[in-house]
Amino acid sequence: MPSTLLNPATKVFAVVAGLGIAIGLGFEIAVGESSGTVLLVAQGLVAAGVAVAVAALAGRDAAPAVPADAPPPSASASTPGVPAQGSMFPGLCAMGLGLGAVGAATGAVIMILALVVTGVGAAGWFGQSWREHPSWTPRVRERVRYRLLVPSALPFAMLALAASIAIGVSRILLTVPEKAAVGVALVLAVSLLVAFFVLASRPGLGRSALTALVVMAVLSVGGAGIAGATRGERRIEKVPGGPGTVRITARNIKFDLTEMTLARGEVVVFRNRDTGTFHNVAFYAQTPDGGQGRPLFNGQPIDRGQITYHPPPPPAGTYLFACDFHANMRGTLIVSG
Amino acid sequence: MTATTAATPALPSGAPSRPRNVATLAVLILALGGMMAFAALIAAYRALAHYQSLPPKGVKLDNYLGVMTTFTLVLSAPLVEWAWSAVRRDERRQAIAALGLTIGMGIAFVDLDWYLVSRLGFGVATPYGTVFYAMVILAGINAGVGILFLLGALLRVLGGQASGSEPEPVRVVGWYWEFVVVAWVLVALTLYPIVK
Repeated sequence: MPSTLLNPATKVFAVVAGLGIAIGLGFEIAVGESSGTVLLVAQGLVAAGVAVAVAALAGRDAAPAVPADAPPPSASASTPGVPAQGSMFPGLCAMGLGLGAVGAATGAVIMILALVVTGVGAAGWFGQSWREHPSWTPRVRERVRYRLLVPSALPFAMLALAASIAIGVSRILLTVPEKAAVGVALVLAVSLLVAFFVLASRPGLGRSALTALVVMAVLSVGGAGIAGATRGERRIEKVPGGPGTVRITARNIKFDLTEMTLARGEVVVFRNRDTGTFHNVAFYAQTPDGGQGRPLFNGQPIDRGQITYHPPPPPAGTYLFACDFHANMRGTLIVSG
Repeated sequence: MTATTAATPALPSGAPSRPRNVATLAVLILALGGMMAFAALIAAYRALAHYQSLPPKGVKLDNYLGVMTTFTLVLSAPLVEWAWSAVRRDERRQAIAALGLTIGMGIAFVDLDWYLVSRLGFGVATPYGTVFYAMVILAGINAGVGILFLLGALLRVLGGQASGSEPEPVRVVGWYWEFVVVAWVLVALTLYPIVK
């Protein structure tokens, strides 16, 4: 029967596809404006794709007619193996993608958080669908646990834990004043000593208490580390005899220097105050007529904040420095020996 | 009292053994939605041509880089088809090799895409820059998602959850990867003077 060959969704999408393509072609003939044609024809092609996909894959969406007094259908699971369970992971993925949209407009911290949330959601979702597969038996579970999780995931988790603690502590120490950093380091060291002394002297400490202790420690160090990273490093004095620093700032699509003098081994600290607009600092050779020659160094572009470049020192001489994004942002670079 | 025989909608009895098509349908619709997003960006690019010459004066595009990036991705298309064919024939090792190579080519594409963006020499602050960056970055994100899907398919093959009797995980990932390839080819043909 025709009604069972194509389901209603397929018919709707087929009509939308036909209309989209027909209107697109008509638009091209009548108006001759290619962007509208592209949109309309693409919409028609996409609708045609959905129609074909729904027709081929979704099956009939009309319920069969059964007598009113027929016995109720059996409640047995239609999927072999463990029945599929509800999951929080798709919601977590959606939350991560939403955070990503916010992060694209606000900054890197939210973006990194979005990537972490999406990654955790995607990995959890994949793991759950893996465990719901009929091939996931207790024997397979044990095999995966002892051949994959214990030898590889555990060391990675420990490494990640150690790295996050080290990075968190370093951020704290770099943020607080220099004298306070010594005090913080001492307090942390004493806390660790006391914590491990307590742990060693109480062999009966429960697993849940140990877990709570570790979680509290990681959360407090991680939270303080994130706060420190957000606030930024304190001003660190230049070490006598260490590498020198040349500071340059971009603001209102202009550099604050028209001439930069760089000694061999000096680093370039570039600050971008045009938030949301990418700038960088690049070095170019100078052509005989004073134009821009071959590139010598192209610094990583940033759209806000500050970055330190370690450019390979070109031989002493006169060069050009420029922003690769804006032709008007350039100046003379003098490299001393 | 006689029993009524009026037809009443009810759940169909004898449901399919496994709802395999849900993922296939979801990924196809995801890919078609992505295609619409690229179509919108290409339309925006074409609309710009009414107001300025494209590419604008002063912008030099590295056609060689655009062509090599396109070649890299196009070469991955047969690899993913090889994986699909190998899974259907229960050639597990071939499938693993083909998926691994496709992932490698995908990573190479993302790397080239990133390199291409870092060497553009113009910013995002102009309408042309905004559309250009949106297209190439969206293509890179698209390929990143495709690589994650490929990784999932590889794990399924390694774990015995994708085989000749159950090839859907690889088939659906193959379709998504073909969408990644087609989308980039359209982007490259729009942005770079490859055909000219």
